[in-house]
Amino acid sequence: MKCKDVRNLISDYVDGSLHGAAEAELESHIDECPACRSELHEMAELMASLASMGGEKSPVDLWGGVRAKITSAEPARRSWWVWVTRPLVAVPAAGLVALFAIALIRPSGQAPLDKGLAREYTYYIGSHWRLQRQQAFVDPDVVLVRAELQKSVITGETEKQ
Amino acid sequence: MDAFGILVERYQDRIYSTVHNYIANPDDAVDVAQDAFVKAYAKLRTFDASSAFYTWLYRIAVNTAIDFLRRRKSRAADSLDDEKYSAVGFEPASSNPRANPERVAVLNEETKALKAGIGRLSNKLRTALILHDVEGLSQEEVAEILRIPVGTVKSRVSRARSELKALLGRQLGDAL
Repeated sequence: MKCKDVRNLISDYVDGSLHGAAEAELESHIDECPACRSELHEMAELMASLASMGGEKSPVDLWGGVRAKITSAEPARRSWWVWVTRPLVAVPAAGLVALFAIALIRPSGQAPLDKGLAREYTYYIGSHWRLQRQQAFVDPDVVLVRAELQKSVITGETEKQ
Repeated sequence: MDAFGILVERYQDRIYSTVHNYIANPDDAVDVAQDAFVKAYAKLRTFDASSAFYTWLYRIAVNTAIDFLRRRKSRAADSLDDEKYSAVGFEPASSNPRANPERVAVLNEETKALKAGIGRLSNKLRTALILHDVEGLSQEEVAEILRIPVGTVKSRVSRARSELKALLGRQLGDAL
């Protein structure tokens, strides 16, 4: 292995992502080449210095400022969504979508849907829904996101009353 | 506390730390980190639970920080932007009384040199370096945040290290 090849692989080596023959060849070269050894040493030190810059703590609690900004933007952001999620609008809209879907799936003059296919489709939808629920239970962040979304809908309904 | 408040509390340090690597001024970094959370809140319905929440949040934070720097650069009135501060090895003092006084007072020579060098990298290389080498995220996590293949992350990190090393040049040898 030549010095140029070593320089190209040093980054991978320091990351620990160089394995097998390539790793052995690089180590063998490093043992014999002071310039590449120095290069490796500098790279390792650079990475240690970079790592020491991370993980800084926020000097202030961000939630206060975030909540203030959210609250000031809330009416404009929420208005259209609350309107759409109101039952008086949402139920007829869902009905129309369902009718449209049925019309697409079952054109007039053709045989009705295969019941076996319908069962399969229902099973597929159910599996997808169960998977989504499982993810929500596994990831606590997703649970919080859903709780926040649910809250905003409920709040919208409360405001309506 | 609201559910979103818990998420902010959980990730505020990670998001602030990441943003502060782009923006030297701690007060601006706080503002940008808060803006990132506000954007995340506004886009909450678009969050796809098939990816991790924090990778989605990091993406928003990185874009918000880069947008902030672009806006600052484009403002002719700004005679000193963050990169210029970093380039001359100076971090503007924070007006925030809760900010760490030691950090506000003076950054050590090594960190100043590194920050100046990182500030001179392209956005793509800088982001890969900050997320992977500074904040310690795995290549897979960075790939998910930036929506690029792991191989691309690997090559960007490698190029960023080489460029940074070249940029620091002799200065690095003195500082390390």
